[in-house]
Amino acid sequence: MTDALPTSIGDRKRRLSVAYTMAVAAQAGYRVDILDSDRDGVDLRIDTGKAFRPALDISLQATTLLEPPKAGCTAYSLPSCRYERLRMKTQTPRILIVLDLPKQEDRWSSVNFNELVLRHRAYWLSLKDHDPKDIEEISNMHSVRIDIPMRNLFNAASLQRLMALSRTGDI
Amino acid sequence: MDVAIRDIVIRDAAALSCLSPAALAAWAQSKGWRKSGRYREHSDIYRAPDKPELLIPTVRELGDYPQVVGRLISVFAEVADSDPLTIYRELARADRDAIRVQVPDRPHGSVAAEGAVELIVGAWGVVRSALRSMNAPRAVHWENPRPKMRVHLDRMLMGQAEHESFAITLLSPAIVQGLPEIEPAERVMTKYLARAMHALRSATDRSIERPDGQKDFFAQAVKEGVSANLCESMVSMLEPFHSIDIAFSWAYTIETKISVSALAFEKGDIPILKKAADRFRREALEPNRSFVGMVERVERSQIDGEGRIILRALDSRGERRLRAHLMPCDYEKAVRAFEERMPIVLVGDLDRSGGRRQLVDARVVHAMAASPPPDDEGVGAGSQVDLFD
Repeated sequence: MTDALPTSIGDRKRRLSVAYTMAVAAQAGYRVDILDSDRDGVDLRIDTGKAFRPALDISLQATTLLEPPKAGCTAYSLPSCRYERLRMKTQTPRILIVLDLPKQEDRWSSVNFNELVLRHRAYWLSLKDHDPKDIEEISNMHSVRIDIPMRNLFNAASLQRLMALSRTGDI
Repeated sequence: MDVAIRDIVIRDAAALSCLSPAALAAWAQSKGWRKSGRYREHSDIYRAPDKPELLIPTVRELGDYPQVVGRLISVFAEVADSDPLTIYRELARADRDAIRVQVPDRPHGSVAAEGAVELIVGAWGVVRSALRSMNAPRAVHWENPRPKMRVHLDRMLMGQAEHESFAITLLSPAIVQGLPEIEPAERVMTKYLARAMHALRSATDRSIERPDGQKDFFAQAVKEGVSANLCESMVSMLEPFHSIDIAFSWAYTIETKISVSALAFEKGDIPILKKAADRFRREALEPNRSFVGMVERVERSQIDGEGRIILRALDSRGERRLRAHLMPCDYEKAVRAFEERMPIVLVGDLDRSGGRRQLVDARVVHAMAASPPPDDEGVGAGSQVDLFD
């Protein structure tokens, strides 16, 4: 008899997206604080240990429903409350990270003697100055469809570039 | 215990949002940080030797403003070797001048409710007296503060209650609206009040030393803001208690070069203050006097259509020149009378306390329909009619 899993599927997706981001940040040499996302839609803060800059506030999403790429972009339906919080003016730059998970849950991660694998990958997107007119369609009151460029792969190299932009305030 | 206090993290977003960008910047500057650039659209970079770099918002309208303020408080507390709550309290008053009236030596910081009411009413009276003296130093103020003065009163706040001692705090905003070298009116008012309180203390001390000179000591202090109203408000505050302390503290947001020490007034001062107030009132005004005369000069003030006039009037003691400040409607009447060389009847309270006689709360009630006197004499000849109503 198998015990029921202690966390919901949503929790497990969220924890994997946290693990992915923390792994990338660790590889790139940054610190990560886990925040209370109920407060203002920010899940993590990545910084160097200094109080202010460089730093990024991260809103995390994990999904098995990313659409196949079209013209170099994949589409994602973002909850509208998160969308608004990512667009608002802030001192610390905010980015969205979307973890693209396999449809089959048992393939989300695996561990063997040689490697730890977390599938598939995450993309980042800054919605600062995002024009709502660019949104193809507002599917309903609660979510907004956004296009994420496939080139925005979230890895250690892209995180270092983003932190450099955060230092200068150019993101 | 100390460690626990220092570990406090303030998470109340509403409380953190109350702190203004000006207060944060002023606090940082007072500790040696200097602005060295801009960060994104709405923050400034502040640096100081051997201190962490700060990013201080220039507006409150940021999605992460409470979090940024929380981080700033943590840095400030660490640099100042203090705790976040103390820093928060300092920041909450950093853009306000504070007038603190304290009843010392009270066990548990409590006083009888009736005495507390007297203290608050008296303190408010002190502020109102100083404001009216700043506008026009006089031994007695009969009128209520005028609308443009009320703006300053309306912006004053009562500070939060404090632990350990009974004290009330009046907070006056000190935010530079235009050029930084121009002091805001509220700061000017608080400085004036501080000087007036020192003048009052000084006149009282000198009267204790030389009782025969009391009249002169208080008369000399009128130009510094002492009035019957100020004396009476002090008496009202003092009567329920043995003593009260008054202290001023200045906002970080505006540099202040004046150094004002705390003052103490005691129950023993009451007879002197009462005597001074009574004498001021007795000697200052003759209420409801009316004068007939020619308008000799008109001068429109900068605001609201009000104006000042000089009236050349005759009474039983001969010719005298009276100054009067008129509200817009009366000023218009006076201007017409001046242009048409008609005499007018001016009613008000004759203030004898200053060097020049003036009518307080003056109103133009009549003008005479008559040929102008040929050589500015014979005022009052002709039939008296109401030209304006």
